[in-house]
Amino acid sequence: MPTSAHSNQRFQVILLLSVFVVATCGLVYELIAGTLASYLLGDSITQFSTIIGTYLFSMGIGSYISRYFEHNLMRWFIQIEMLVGLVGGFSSTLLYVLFNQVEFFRILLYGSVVLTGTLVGLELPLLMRILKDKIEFNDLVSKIFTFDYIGALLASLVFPLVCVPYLGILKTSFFFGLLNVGVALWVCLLFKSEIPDYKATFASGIFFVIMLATGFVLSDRIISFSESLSYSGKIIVSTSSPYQRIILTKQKDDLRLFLNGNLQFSSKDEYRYHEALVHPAAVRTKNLNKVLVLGGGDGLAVRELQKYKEVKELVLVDLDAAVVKLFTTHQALIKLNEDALRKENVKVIHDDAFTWMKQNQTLFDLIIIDFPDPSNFSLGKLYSQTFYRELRRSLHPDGLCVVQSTSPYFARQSFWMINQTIASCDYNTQAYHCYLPSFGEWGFIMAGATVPKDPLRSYPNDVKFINEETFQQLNHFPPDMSKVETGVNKLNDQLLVHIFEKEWSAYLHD
Amino acid sequence: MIKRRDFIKQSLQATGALALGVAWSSCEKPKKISGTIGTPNYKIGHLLRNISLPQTTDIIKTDCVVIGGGVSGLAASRKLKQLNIDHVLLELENKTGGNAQAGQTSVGSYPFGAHYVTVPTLNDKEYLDFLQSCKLITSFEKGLPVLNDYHVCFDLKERLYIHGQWQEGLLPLQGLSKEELEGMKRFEEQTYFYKNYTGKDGLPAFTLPLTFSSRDPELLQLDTISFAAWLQSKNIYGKALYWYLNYCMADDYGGTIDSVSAWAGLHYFASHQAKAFNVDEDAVLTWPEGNNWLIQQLKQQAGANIKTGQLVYQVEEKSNALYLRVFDIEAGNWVLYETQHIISCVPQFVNQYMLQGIDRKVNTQAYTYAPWVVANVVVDTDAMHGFGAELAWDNVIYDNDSLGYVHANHQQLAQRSVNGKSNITYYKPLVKQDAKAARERMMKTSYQQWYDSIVADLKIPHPLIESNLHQLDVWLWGHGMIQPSVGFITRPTAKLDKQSYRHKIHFAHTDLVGISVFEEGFYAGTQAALQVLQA
Repeated sequence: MPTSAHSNQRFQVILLLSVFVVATCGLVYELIAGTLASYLLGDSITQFSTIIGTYLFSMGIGSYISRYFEHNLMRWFIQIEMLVGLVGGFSSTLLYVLFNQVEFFRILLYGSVVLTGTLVGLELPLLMRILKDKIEFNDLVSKIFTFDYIGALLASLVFPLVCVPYLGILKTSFFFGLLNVGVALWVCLLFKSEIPDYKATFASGIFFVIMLATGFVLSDRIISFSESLSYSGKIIVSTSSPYQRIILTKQKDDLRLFLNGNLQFSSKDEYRYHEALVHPAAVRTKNLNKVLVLGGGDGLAVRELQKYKEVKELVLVDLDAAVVKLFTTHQALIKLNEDALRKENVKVIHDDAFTWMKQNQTLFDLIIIDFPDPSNFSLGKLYSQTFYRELRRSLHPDGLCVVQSTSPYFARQSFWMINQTIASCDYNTQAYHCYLPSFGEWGFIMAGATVPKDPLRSYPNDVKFINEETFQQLNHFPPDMSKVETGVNKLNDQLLVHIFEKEWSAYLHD
Repeated sequence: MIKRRDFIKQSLQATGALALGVAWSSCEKPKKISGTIGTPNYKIGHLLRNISLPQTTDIIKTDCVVIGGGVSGLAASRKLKQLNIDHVLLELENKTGGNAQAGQTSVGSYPFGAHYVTVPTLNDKEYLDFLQSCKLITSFEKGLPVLNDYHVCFDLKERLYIHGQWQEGLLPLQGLSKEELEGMKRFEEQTYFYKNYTGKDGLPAFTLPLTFSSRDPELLQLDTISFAAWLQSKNIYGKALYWYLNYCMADDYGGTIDSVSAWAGLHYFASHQAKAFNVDEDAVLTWPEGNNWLIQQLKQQAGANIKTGQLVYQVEEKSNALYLRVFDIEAGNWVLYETQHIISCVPQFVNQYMLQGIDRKVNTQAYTYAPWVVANVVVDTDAMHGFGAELAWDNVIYDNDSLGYVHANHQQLAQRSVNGKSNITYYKPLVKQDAKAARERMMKTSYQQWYDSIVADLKIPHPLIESNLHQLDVWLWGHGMIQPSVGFITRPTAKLDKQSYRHKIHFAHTDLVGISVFEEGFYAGTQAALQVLQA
């Protein structure tokens, strides 16, 4: 043990400085947990109150169990400090990544708060015991708490003013994790003579530093990598466009496309969806020269349309060039859509459907609409009365349109509201639905000035699901999906978005 | 043992090292934000002191001169053109539009002032005609106007940041005590009563334009007390409700419940009895550029002879004609106009100087104008969502001195704005202090100070906004809008102030009425043009 006055002084400085760092880091972890909880769960008052309470209480637990730590307190102190750095450093990333993945997010959140709090709570009592023989008690208590509170003040200032604006939450926690482990390593190095298995402890500290530093550098990538956890298949394409995140997964023969995490199709049963979307209307259209597809950049509806030789002009309007590019370049996807997008009669336009529709002057015989569900006010515009009026202008008097209209089972009112909104714009409508193993019951609305009862042409030969007999059955809605009276979805009063949210959340947040 | 001095020194070094470390390791350095600060041409008056009046000038003869190119001036010109009256419109600024100015960024246009109109009443046939001519009213069904869907504010119209999240609608709904809920209920009952109340003269209690409202003395009595005093007399209390009412008074009148009269306060809530066939009565018509869209329509229908950058220095009456000495700012020369009629569409504090040679007495001390700060901020749209309700057209922060911000791109049909960026327009009337003092302080405040205070407000709901902010332009309105303070609307001289001078000079600024809204300006301008015809 160092005995000289000089080394004793140095000893104190080092340990008190580590109190300071421990206090700063401890409060920062607490603030990170509070901020993250408010950010992810909302209601900042509740989140901050409960997080701070739990954290302080856990520090109490740590202080209490500190009595059970004996022999070689210095080693314990160093190890706990390293552990605090590791847990604190990684906790926010872990919470962030797992927010969508686990059902018990709150348990995980408070669990990590309890763990960090307990470890931080252990530190001061241990340190006081280490120093008790070296510093007079009055002086010790005074110094330790002074450093502790100064550290807290620093943390509370640095966190909102420097850390969050410049580093962001994830990098901040890695940074303070590094600081924690760094101090532990430093202390470890200086007191190596007091620590029996100094080399192992030091090596584990170095290992933690590498992990935290990697986390710090890769934190942005960790977030996007975390997505892979939500998908059951192997991710074979992962890309971002200005509009959405595009993920393609493969599990055995099954290809699945996800846009912003929402399943768009499974290659196993998509034929059911696209045959039902296209053919009943296509066989009822008097002429089939000009066809418009809105949305549907995957080319699967276009593939079905290519089965009609009459189709001379096929216009596809899809906002996202990245989706179309994927479906015209990726081999497995070209195989799936039979390279339908690169046929001569196809014209692809990358534009917003509403703005394009508003200025369009061409009349179409058939319009297929395959938009994402009306889950927000932006998408809800594409299901508004005003939009269907514009659509009417572009539809040949003998023409028909079909609208994918979410699930009549999961979102019954939403489905019938789309029907009622279309009908309010002087259309006749025919609602139908089919079962998709990967989605459940799905619904469509066919609409036109008149909807012919019987087909005007025959169904193509190479269809696997739809024919007229099937279609007649699809027109029937059992009582749990049958028609309900709803309002009309308007641009200035989007009833649909409110109802859709309510209906689907009943299933998603059970 | 270490000494106190060393202890402090070491602590400071540690702190410094830590801060430095954080700063160095930051990956995103704050950007230098660009922006400008603009005001109406209030300095031009000073220009005159250095210019000597010329001996001789060219004389332009016309039947009528309209002074001021805001809503009333353009409406007057529109009507004069319809009446085939030869006229010239002179505007001081280099753009017409008055309070309904608009700006332009890489993302599109945005308002620098007034940005919406409410569902029209059926009172003013001229106004309905105008709305129909610009296809805002597409038809009439069952006697009610059908408003153009594309210009009625889309859903979501309003949201409020309160208790750490956004709620739909502006009236606080959560965490209210029983007393507060009862207060709100009483207030609703009162406004419902006045919405449907007809005065003894058979006219509705509150409507737009104001002149169509009842003159029943019992109702006018409400102008003699403050809105706050009236609320107390009706036993209506509650912090959240008072916040909301203060917000509304600031938004429409640049005032507070203490400064605005009960008549004006109730007018705000009870005059929305106007109905349209296809939308709710609280719907509004709005455009990315705000009411400047209406200004452009007015301009198209106005007379051809609109001159901007014209300072009307002096008006004189000589042998049955009126003479205007006008300084053309751009050309730097003087022009003399000879005319039979003038329609003055400028505020009374301007008239006071301009019409010094004319025998007209107006007590301008009675007129209070609220100063306003408006800022347009270019931001990443995704950064503006926050927790809770989606980004709305009007986004208000509870218990904040600003009025929050309007998402100028809200009326876009497309799923996404240019480059994923948006214009958001921040509004703040300086209601907390005396208007004159606030105005003086406002003109002394630097761009950086405005930037800091505006960003501080926006940070309340969007803590990380600074890293998503690309441009911030500030506009200062020294005399933003007339305030209908206690007693102003029913002031004894109200009628006299509006009266034409010898059937030759007519007055059509909204400050004469006391409420600064588009409908009033339009009505006043149109009426003044008709007075020219009758004279």
